[in-house]
Amino acid sequence: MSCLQEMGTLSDLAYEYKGTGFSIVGLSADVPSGSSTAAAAKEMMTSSGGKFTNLTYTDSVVQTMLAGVNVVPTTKFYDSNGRLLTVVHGAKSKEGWINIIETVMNEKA
Amino acid sequence: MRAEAIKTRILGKKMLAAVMAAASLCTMGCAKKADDDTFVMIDVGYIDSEKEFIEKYGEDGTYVAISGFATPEPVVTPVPTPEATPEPTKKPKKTPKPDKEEKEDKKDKENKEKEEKKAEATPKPSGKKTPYASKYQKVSLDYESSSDGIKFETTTLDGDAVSQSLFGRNKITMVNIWTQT
Repeated sequence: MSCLQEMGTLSDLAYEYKGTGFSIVGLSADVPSGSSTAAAAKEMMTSSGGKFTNLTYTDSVVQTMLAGVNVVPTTKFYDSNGRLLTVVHGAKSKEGWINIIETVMNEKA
Repeated sequence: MRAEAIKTRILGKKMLAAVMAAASLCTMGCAKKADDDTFVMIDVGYIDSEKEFIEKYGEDGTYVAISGFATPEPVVTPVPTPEATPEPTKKPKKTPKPDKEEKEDKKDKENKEKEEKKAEATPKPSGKKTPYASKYQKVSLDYESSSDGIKFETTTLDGDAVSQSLFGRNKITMVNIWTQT
């Protein structure tokens, strides 16, 4: 499963978890902030079913959220203070994401 | 003590004025003398001679003749001039205090602002349980031991500015890193 293939699943989960204290944000690792490619990336994202907030990268993003990322998709979980909790590599099914999300929410929220 | 009679002539209609003048003088100078001598009562009346005085009061009296005319000055009782009452100092008008309702509104506004600031810093409490809380399989996760939160600035694909405050909106935020290829 590729990055774009799970966008629909993540969009569904973002909607289902709305108001529970959990949110999903996308980060496009190949779209720099302010570039003309952002529009194309958004179009691709939308056509793939991704309807949640997606970020572009800057230097500060590279030094923080993109640090140590060697494969895509990579998913990082942060608490409300921006502290990194855990990192998950690879794409997952909806059930796979539910198990991970519920575990994190139960243990760290 | 033998009284010393002094002959005098007192004019009839002027007697009253004369006696009043005498009384006025006595209050000034004769009262002390009365301590050592005999106090003399003067009966106002028309006495034309010493003989008539002795017949009326006996020889132990003192016949004081007062000659001349005296016009008693009217006793003027000084009326204290009322001191000018200073005008009451006008107190500066106090600035009308805001009504209680206005105060409460102000407090409410301040509290609201505080709560909003607090809400930005504190994640909103989950309004409801997670949808799959009762039907998931717990997985083993390796948690990081980082102590500091990350700081960043970037934009969304729509061009909106975003920073680390993004994390403060929820207890947990999942960042899915992806590429177009």
